Amino acid sequence: MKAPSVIAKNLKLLFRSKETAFTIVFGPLLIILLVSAAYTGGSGDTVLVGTYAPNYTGLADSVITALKDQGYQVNVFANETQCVDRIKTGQLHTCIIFPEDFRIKGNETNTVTFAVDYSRINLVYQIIDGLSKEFDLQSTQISQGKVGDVLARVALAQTTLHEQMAQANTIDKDLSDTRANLAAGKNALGNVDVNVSFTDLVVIKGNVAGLNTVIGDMQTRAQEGLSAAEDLLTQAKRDCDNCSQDYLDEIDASILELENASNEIGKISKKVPEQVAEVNHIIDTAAASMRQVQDRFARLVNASEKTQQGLGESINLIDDALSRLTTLRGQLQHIDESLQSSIGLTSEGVASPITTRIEAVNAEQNNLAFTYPYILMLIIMFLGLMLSSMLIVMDKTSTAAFRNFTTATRDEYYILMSFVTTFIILLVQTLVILLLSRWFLGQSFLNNFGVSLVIIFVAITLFSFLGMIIGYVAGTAEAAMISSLSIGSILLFISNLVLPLEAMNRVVQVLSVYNPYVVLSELLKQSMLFSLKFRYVPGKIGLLVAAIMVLFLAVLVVQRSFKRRYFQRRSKDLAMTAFAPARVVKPLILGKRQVKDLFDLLAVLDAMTRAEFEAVIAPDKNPIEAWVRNEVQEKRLARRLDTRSKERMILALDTFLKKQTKRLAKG
Amino acid sequence: MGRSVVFDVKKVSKSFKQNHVLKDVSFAIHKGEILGIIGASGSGKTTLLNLLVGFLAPDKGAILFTDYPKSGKPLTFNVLTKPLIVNRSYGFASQHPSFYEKLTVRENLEYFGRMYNLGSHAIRANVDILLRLMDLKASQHVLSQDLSGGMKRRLDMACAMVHNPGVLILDEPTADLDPMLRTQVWEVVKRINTRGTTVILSSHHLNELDTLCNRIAIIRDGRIVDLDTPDKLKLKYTKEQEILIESYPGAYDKLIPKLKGKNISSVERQGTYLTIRTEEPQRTIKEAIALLDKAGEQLLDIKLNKPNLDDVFVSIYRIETPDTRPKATKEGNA
Repeated sequence: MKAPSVIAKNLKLLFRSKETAFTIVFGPLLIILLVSAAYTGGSGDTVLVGTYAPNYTGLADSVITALKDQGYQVNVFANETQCVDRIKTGQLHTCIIFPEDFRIKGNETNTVTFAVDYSRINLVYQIIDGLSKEFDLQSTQISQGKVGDVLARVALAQTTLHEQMAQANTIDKDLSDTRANLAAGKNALGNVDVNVSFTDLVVIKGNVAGLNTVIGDMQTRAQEGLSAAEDLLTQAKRDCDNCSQDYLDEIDASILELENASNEIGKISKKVPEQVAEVNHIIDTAAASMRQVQDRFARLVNASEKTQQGLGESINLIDDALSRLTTLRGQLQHIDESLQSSIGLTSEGVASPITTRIEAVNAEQNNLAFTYPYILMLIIMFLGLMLSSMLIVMDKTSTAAFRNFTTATRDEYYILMSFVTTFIILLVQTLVILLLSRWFLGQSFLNNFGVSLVIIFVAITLFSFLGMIIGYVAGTAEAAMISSLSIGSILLFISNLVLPLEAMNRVVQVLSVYNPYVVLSELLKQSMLFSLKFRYVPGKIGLLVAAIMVLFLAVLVVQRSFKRRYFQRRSKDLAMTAFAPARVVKPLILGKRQVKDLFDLLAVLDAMTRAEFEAVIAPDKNPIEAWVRNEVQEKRLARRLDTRSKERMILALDTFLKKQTKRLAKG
Repeated sequence: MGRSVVFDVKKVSKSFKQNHVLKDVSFAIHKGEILGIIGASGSGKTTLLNLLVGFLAPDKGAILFTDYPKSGKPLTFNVLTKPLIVNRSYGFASQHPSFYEKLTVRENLEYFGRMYNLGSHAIRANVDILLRLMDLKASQHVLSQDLSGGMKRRLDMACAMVHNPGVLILDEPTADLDPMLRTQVWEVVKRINTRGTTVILSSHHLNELDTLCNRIAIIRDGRIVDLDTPDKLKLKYTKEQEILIESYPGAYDKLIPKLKGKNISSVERQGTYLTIRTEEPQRTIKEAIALLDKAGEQLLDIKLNKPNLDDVFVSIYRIETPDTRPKATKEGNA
């Protein structure tokens, strides 16, 4: 089993190196403890605040008391300059200068000045934040008093309004009734016919006159009829020989009756003219009376018309009045409704209509709970990047790198084992951190542990592979560390943890969507705080797994590239030929040896005896230095070769050639 | 030494950008031999070694490797086609020790044993053998960073040998080591070779290779200019021997003109010695002693330095153009 050996080797290397053991293995635990301490406590007792006021009002005193209550060390100064000077000497962090007669009044504005060393500006915001609460309290109390007064007046107005509205309703009803009466009267007047016609009387009079004639005719005809009847009866009597006496008596009685009737008619006829004259007189009298009535009716009609006109105008006026009354009632109703909304208002509600309350969706007692997933993911990110990159750098810069490359083990295996080592360490650390959180913070973040664990697995894998790429690209451990920190910082910056994303540039916001730190920390937060169900995870996790696969392929590519360059770098011959001068260099003759290039020179110097060297290099001549300067044209190297020590020359040449070799192998 | 070939280098060329580091190189390395590769800095030695084991791919040509399994037939293939088999077959130690400084000696050996897919039992056995072989038993629980230079070099070689490879490649294993440590390293190499391991090594310390290597390849300007046994190379490239004479009162200035021209290629004063180079040392010594007597000099010391690989090296590197180079042997290429 190779895997345990490789993992054990990696762990031994990490733990036996003090730097990595401390910074990578124990560092995160320290970080989480410090972060926990920072979030769970904190007071202002180390903040030194000075105050100055021309006259200390109640409000100024209450502010000072509030500051003291918040744990600030407050010193009261009698002199503004003295207070400000203390900031310059570092004895105070800030000086609060209250205005004269500092109190909250009507429309006047009070300006409180903070004298501050600008490097401590955050401290000022902290203090202002605390003081704002005090100022707000004062303002609220005054506002509440004023608003209470206004509300009482509104209530009184509302009561009066209700009374007026009731009266308006009564008036409306009365007017409506009056209008109805007037309308009825007007109609009644309109219906009265006062026209009197005298035609009938004239006709009557004429008829009466005619009646006289008719009656005369009738008398005549009646006399004639009666005479005829009598004649007939008389005739009948004479003709009736055989008639019984009774019959004849009957006829005689009838003839008598006819004579009586004729007499009566005669009498009546004599009275008719008198009667007609009397009737005519009566008619004339009636006509005269009627004329008088007619005159009166004419006057009455005139009066009635005027009355009707007046009634119409009155009705119109009443209609107008009713219309205005309706409008008035509507307005009163609106006012009433408006005032109605003030029912139930409290002075607190009006003076402070909006109050904010932060309600935690979980049971945490401090804001660490909210930021905890971000911090945990932050640690995983930085640790994953640094640990994996350091492991790779440790391996590739180790003297053992060559032997690893030459063993009968595939390159992919080393990558996987580095990943597994990182994974194990990170997983253990994460679990330790979670347990410590439960222990120290008294709150479990192990809720929804299955989903959280999947997210943590993905995060460790992703950041480990990213770190491995950094490890293969970076030349040194320092470069790997700086690169890891830089990339981690960039990912951190494009997230919600440092600054709210919403406040950032649009481009940054878009970039953040692809930021694995953002995606993973959000997922972890949702899982830890809101018990995200697993069915909501696969989409994002799928994308991250795809990213992991891409990163793994990238690791393979950079590892192959590194391996190729590694063996090229080992081939010193490359350097010798690679930076040999393009032009032909005049050979240097040293004794019996010929030197064509710097490698020749090194070999020849190495092989030269001291006597041979001393024969070539004299106090007044150094052909090697001259040749390097003039022919090879490496002036800096020539300066280093300007020595009479063979060892120094060899050292200078060797150093130069090694540097050139490295430079060329890299490039 | 058998003639079984382990590496067969066929017309290999390698360039970095516009620069030709190796040009049409061909040679073979035999199983069980110690092959030394010498050349000036940047002459292509390390590139050649890197190509042998597939760290780099040749631009032209091919390098064939023959695997000799403990059972079954040997298998020959291009080193680039089966890197894991090649990796399992060789151990590589360079001038820069390659192991984890923060692991102990035993931890390093066990770790690299695992990386070669050895089982626990095999690892334990191999590590114990190597600790004894490399004389590191007493330091097995010491952190590698606390070892001395020589111990580090031995640990590096042990790491290269932990999987018991058939081939051990040593790229300047004694660079930066003092003579004592160099001797230790060469002793270890000899011990390893006696176990049947093929050793390919490059070094600047040519005289030490003289007694160690079965064959030596000399590389210059990207070409193997010769490949032969040390004795044959010395015979081929250096006929002159160096005579060192010390006498009293040492008035050599009068003697030098008298010695010149008598089959002597050079004569000069080097400190208290008179140095004479000649192809006829016996005759020159006699003549020189006679001249000293005549000049009233009292002979204090006389030495005869036979040619060594340094001389071969210098001789080869003095040759300016290909036309003036001696012809290469049949295995090297000109």
